[in-house]
Amino acid sequence: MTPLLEQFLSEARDFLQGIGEKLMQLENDPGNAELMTELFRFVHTLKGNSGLFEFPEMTRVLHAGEDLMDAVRHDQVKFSKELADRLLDAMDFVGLLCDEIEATGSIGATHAVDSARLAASLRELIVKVDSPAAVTAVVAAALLATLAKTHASSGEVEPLPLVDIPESVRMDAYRHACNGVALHWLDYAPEEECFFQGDDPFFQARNTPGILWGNITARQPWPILAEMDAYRCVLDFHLLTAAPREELDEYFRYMPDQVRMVSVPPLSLALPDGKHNGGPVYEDFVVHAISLLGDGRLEGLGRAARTMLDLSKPDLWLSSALRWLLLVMELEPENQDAFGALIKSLRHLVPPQWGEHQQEISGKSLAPTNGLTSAEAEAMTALITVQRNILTLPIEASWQLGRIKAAAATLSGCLKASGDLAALPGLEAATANALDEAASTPLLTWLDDKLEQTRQATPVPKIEPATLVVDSSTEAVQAVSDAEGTSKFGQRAEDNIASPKSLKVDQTKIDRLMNLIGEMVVSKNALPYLAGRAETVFGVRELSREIKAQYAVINRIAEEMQDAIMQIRMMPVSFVFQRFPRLVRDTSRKLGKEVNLVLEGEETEADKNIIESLGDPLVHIVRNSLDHGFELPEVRRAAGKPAAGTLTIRATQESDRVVIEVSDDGKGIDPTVIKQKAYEKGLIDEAALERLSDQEAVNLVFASGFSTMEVVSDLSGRGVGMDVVRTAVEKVNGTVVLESEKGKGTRLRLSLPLSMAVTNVMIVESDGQIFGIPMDSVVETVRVPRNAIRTIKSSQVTVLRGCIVPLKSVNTLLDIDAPPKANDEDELAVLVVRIGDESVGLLVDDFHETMDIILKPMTGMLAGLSTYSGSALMGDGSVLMVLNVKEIL
Amino acid sequence: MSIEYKKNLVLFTDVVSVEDAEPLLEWLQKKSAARVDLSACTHLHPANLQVLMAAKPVISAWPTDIGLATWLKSALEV
Repeated sequence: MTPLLEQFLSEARDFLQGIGEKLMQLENDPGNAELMTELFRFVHTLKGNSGLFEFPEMTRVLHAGEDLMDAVRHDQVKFSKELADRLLDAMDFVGLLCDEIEATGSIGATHAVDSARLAASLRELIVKVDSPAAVTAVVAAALLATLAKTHASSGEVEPLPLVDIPESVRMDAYRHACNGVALHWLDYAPEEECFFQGDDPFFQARNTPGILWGNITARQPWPILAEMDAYRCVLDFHLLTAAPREELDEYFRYMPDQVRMVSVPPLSLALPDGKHNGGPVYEDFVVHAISLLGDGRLEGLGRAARTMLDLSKPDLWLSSALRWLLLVMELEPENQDAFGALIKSLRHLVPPQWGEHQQEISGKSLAPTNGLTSAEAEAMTALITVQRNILTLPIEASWQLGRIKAAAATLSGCLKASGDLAALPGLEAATANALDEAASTPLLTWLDDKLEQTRQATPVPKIEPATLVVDSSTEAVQAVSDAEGTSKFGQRAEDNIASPKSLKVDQTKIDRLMNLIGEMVVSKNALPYLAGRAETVFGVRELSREIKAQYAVINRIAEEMQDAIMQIRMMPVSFVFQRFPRLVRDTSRKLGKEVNLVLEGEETEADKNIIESLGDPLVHIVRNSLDHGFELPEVRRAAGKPAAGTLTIRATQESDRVVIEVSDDGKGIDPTVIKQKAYEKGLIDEAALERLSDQEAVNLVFASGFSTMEVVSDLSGRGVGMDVVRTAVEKVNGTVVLESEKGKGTRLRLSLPLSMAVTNVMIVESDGQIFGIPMDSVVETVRVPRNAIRTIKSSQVTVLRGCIVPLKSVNTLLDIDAPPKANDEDELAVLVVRIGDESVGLLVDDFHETMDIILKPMTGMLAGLSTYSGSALMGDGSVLMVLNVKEIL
Repeated sequence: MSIEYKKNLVLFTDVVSVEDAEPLLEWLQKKSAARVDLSACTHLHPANLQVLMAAKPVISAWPTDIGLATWLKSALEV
C-alpha cells in the first residue's frame, strides 16, 4: 500500500466521521447553512480524494452525494431525515469500501451493483423537489431498476430472446454449460451521452470476456437521416457469455447501471426453431418416442430420433427439435423430463416451456411485468378496474351487450400486453358465455378469478396502489442483499467498528505523557535513596538489597516506556527535506545557476521538536550555499567542473544524534577573504588575523554580524545568516561544523540530539549547593593540587597535560562569596568543560554522579535568568538547577 | 484515412473513429444508392454503426474479421 493510499484511508475515515457528525447535527438543526456548507465540503473533498485512485465504486457514490448536498446547499432540495438516512447509508458503504481497500488493497467488482443503487437512491432525492410530478417517475424507475436487479440475482423472469441466437451457437453454449460453465445473458444499454465521454460501447461489448454471441439493436425506430444525431447513442447490445460473474462485474464495473446480467440455465437454450412445414404432423413419432422413453429404452429413442432426422430437411422445426433432443440426451442423459418436453413440443411446434427450471415470479400474472414500466403497469391496473366497474353495471337492454364486447376486447388487449397469452382462451370462453346469457356475470367471475389467481401467484401485490409498490421495492432491495450474501452492506458503521492503524493525537496529550514519564523517572530515582536509608538509618541490609533489586526492574520498565514515548514523537527528516526540491529549483533558476539536489536518508527519524527546529537553519544554509557557494555555469565550466553543481543534503543517525550534512561542490570559502572581512568588521584583531588557522577562519562565518557579500541581495548577505543558524542549532543542543576547501566545495555538518527530552547531566557541589552541568560540555574531572594553580594577571590557570587551562570558580561566576573548598589532600576539584574550541576548568567543591534528568526550562520570573538552562526534580525531591555553561563563562 | 469516399461507394479500413460519423452521415444523406465496403474494417465506432443502421445502405462487402462481421450483420441485416 502506498503512503498516499494510507493517508487517503486515514483521512477518509476522518471525513466519514465528520460527515456522520454533521448529519446528526443537521437533523437537529436543519436550517443551519454553515453546517451544511461544511458537510458539503467534506463530501466534496472526500470525493476529490477518492478520484485519485482507481475506486470507481466509491467515487460514484460520493459524486452522487456531493451533487445531492450541493442541491441542498442551494435550497433546491430540503434536508430531511430520509436524506440523512440515505447519505449515512452511502457513507457506511464508503466506510466498508475503505475497510476492503485496507485489507486487500482494492475494491472487489461485486460492489458495483450496490454502488450504482446507492448513487441512484441519492440522485433520486435531487430530482424529487424539482417537480412533484417527477416523483412518481423516479419511484417507478427505481422500482423497475430494483426489480431488474432482483431478476438478475434470483434467476430470470422474462423469457430472454434466446431464439435469436443461431442454433449452433446455442448448442455450443449448452455444451459449455453442461461442463459447469455459468452462462450469462447481458443487456448492455449505454448512456445516450456516452460518446461524449469517449466511450466506445461497441468495443466494450465486443471485448466482453467469454463472449459467445452478441447482437446490436436500436432502441427506437430510426429517424430520417436529416434529423439524425449520430452522436446520441441509441444502441443496445445483447450478449451471451460464458465468463464467470465476477469477471463480468469487473469488466463492466464502470457502468453497472447500464448493464443487466441474467444467468442463463443451460436447458433454456434448447429452443427448437425452423420451418413448420405445414404444421404438426408428427403424432406417430411422438407417440412412439414417448413410449420408448416410458420404457426407458433410450438407445431406441436415440435411434428413432436419428432416423427421423435423416429423413427430414435440416431447416425444419422438427429437425431442430430432434437435434436438441439428441444433444440433451448426450449431455444430460438422466434428465428424462427434458426429453419428454422436447418430444411433446413436436405436437404443437411450440418450444418447450423450460419455465420450471427458472424461478418465474410473475409469469402467470395479470399484472404487467414484461417489459412494461411501472407507470404503464399502473395505467393498466386502472384500466382493468374500470372494466370491472363497467361489468358490474346491470345489463338492461340488448344494445348494452356491446359493453361486454368492449370490456372483453380491452381485457384481452391487457392480457396480450402483459404477455399472458395462456389466459386468452379463458377470456374468450367467458365472453362467449356472457354474450349467450346476455349478462356480464360470467365475464365478471372470470375477471375476479383471474385477479385472485394473480394475487396468489405473486406474493407481492403488484396491482395494489402505489404505496405498496414502493414497499415491495424495499423488499426487493432486501432480497438483493440477502441473495448476494457476500455484501455486508446495510450494517451501520457502529456494528463493525473498524480499527484504524494510526491515531491522530493532539500533541498536548503526548506532552502530558512525556511529563508523566518524567515524573516517573524522577520518583523511580528516589528508590536508591530509600535503599540507602534502609541500610544507613535503619540498618536493614537485606531490605536495602531487595529495594535495589526492585528498583532495577522498575528502572528497566520506565526506560522502555520512556523510549516508547520518544518513539511516538519521532518524525522523519523528510518532513523538513520535502521543501527543498522546490526551493533549490526556484532559487537556482533566479540566480541563473544549475544545481542538482540530492537528498539522502530522508527516513532518518528524530524528535518532533528537533525536526521542527531544523527547518529554518537548513533553509538558511541551502540559500547560502546557492547564493555564495555555487558558481555560474560558465565559471564552473572554465574551472573544469560540470556546469550543473550538486547540492547534497544527507541525514544519518550516529548513536544518539542525528547528523545532517549539507555539502556543495561550489567554489568553497577562501579563508584569507574571511579573515580580511572579519578584521574589517572588527570581529577579530590583528593578532588573531595572523594566528587563526584556515579551519578557524572558515568558522568565522558563524560570527554574529558577518557577511562577505558586498551587495545585500534578497536571498542572503544581511549578515544574519550563519549566525542565526548557529544560534538555532545550539538552542536544541546541537553543533555546527563547517569545512571548506577553496575551489572544491563546502560541507556543513549539523549534529543534533535525537531527542531533547532527557538530558544527561553531571552533578557537582559548590558551597553546599548542587548544580547540574550538561554532559555534552564536560570533558573531564580532575583533582588539581592547590600549588599547581598559577595566577597570570588576575586569572587562575593550571597546566593539564601540557595545555594551559584557565580556571574559573563556580562560586565567583554565580556571585557566591565563598572560596572553593579543597579536599583532605589539598586538591581542588576541577571540572573541565569545552566551550567551542576552548577548554575551561570550573572550580567546584566536589563531584557527584551523572544522571538522566528531564530538563524543564525556566518559566515565569525565572525565565529571564540565562545563567540556568533549566531545572529538574531529583529523586529525593530536591530541585536541581542546571547551569548554562556558555552563558556563565 | 480510415474511411474513403468513392462515387457511390464508401470504403472502411482499419478502425473507423467517432469523428468519421458526422461526415459519413452527411455523405449518406446525399447518396440514395450508396454502397459500403467493410472488408478491410477491423472496428468501427458505434456512432458510425448507428449511421449505417439508420441509412441502410447496401453492404457490398462484409468485414473479413468474422467476429466483427457477425456483430454487424446482427445490426445491419434486418
